[in-house]
Amino acid sequence: MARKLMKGNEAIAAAAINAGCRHFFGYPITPQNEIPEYMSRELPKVGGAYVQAESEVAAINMIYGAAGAGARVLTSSSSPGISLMQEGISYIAGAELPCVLVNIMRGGPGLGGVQPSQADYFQATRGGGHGDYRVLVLAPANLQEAVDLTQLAFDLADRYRNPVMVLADGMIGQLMEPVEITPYRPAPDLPPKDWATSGTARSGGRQRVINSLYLDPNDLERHVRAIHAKYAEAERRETRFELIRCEDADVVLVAYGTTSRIARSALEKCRRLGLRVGLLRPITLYPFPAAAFEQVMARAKSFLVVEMSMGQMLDDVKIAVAGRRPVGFYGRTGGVVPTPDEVVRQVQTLPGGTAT
Amino acid sequence: MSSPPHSPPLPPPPADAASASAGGHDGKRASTPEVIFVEDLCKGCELCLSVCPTKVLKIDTTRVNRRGYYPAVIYNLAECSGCGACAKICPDSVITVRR
Amino acid sequence: MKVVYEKSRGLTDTPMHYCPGCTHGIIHKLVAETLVELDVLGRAVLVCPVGCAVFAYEYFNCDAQEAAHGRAPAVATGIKRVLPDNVVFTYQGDGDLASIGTAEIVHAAMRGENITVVFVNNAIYGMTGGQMAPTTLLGQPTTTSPAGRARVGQGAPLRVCEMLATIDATAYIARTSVHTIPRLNGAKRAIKKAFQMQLDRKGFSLVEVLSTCPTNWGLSPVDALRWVEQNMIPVYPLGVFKDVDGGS
Repeated sequence: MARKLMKGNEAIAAAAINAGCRHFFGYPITPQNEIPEYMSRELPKVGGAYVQAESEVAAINMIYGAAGAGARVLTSSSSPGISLMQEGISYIAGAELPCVLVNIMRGGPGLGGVQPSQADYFQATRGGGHGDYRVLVLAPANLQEAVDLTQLAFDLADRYRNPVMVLADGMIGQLMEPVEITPYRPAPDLPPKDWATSGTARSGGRQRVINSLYLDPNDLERHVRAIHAKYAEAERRETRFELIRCEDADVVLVAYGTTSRIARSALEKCRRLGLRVGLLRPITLYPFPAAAFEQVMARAKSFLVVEMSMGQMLDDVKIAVAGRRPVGFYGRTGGVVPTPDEVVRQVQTLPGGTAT
Repeated sequence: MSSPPHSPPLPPPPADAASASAGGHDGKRASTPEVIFVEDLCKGCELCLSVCPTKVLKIDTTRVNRRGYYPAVIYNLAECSGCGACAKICPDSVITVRR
Repeated sequence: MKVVYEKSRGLTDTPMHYCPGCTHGIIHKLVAETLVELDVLGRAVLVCPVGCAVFAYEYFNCDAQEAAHGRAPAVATGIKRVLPDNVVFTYQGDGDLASIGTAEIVHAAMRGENITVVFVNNAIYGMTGGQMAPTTLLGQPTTTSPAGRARVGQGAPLRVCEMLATIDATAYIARTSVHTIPRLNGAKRAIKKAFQMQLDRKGFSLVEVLSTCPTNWGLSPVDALRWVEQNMIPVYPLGVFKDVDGGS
């Protein structure tokens, strides 16, 4: 397929359709409205269905039903709407259903603002809803990666029977870049959906029930442990990250999504100043790429986490570094996007951040 | 709208009527319906008694079933019309009626 | 010997957990019989509520999805859009449908989703121990209206059928009861009509069934049936509120 100039939101939607998604249930909220709009235009052309739900609460429950019926399904929203979806996401994880969620993050908390932010990291990676579950979280940094990760998300959702979130921010949603909707084939070893509620006539009389209710605590514990065995497998197999110029880096920047591009620009500026700076870019936020830190630990003198938040991924970095090096933080929030110069100035305050 | 009128009260059953909870017809009256109670499903709610037009059901308080309830039984199969109202209203599908 | 009545094969062999005399058991039977008589049991998908009927999937002999409280119409929408040839129905109580799920039921009706809703109204929250429901009657004591529901501060009962009948894309809205045999027969006819609407792809159908909660009403099961007659029917009149086939 040829590359074409697309808006991030539309590229994500196009990627989903390309990956076999034929059902979208969602609700308008800035800055992701192009996703439902694109779906409402394009899904009928491929025999799919776009349903504008009455709220994000309803939308996530439609997702639950459609996923339980065996379909590849997508919903998208932005921070406050994702908050409304938390109950449904917990149910989807508890019932072991596959689905892909897209969060185009905006400033919060509360009604907040519509400009980009990364302040939903905790919500995305720490469950967000109630109970012992995780969501697999993928964080694209550019539109091509958004396309590729969206398509991957459907495979991961089917493989692990769990919600998978593409966590982007308003910048990625609104940017226009050249993308190729890469040719897609589902992974060959995905398990069949022999649990879908398509009617006992199709299952040879065997009743199928989609459920997350386990009143006996021993049953519930067994169930939760089984789900966590899936997460352990995902931690072994699905962790993704990128290292840029870390082989000789004194200060390692840690950033994801749009912020990683700003950090990359800051890295270039620092290098021109004679500072040895590298970038560790998580691509999966859950599972968090703790192993990446081991690769750079020997050489690095300090880490600088840069986020569009008050410091959320910061916690995971501190866990990974385990006190072995100083971990600094620079953040802007409320929808403010940091500049590379601000990051450079912050680097210069850290061990290893001055030219020798 | 009013509910249908209750059936006029029937004369009390003959003094020597036997309990017939297991159903099955006696060979002398071919039209006697077959009424079977799966007794251990019964919760003694008495809905069946309340809709029986010939009042042939009662709660047997001499014993409890496996669930701990006094079960409903048919004690006068001879007067049973086989209408199936008891079976219809039973929430637990305890009763089968054949005619 | 012909069968006058026997247990429907639309029900499983699992003994029901409902309280003695609870009308859930009766309504389950009417729905199960309907699915068998319409020959759609093999393609039926039930969406269960949160409420006493949360275990409905144990009793119906068809595929089922457990929904979050109130969300069954949204879950059913998702299923029906993916499997339009399956017979998708929800089974919901008054808290599930008329309280937390008000948006979901209104909008499924608004969209004319081709699903069938069985609405079990017993004017109280059964599973959680007898709290006030949107359909609780004025003056009715519950654990959260101990002095009886008062219009000031707690409002007046919600008439779901009348409300939903104002929505254009509904096909069939009816209120029934099961407290006598003739009414039970009428409820079954309404339920069958509602499912037939789905089979004929005519739009959204809902059957409200006035029901009892002997345990939380503090009445015997038989007295509870009488309470429906004396107290609920004056507030919730029986009848057909919408019928695209013109049968109102």
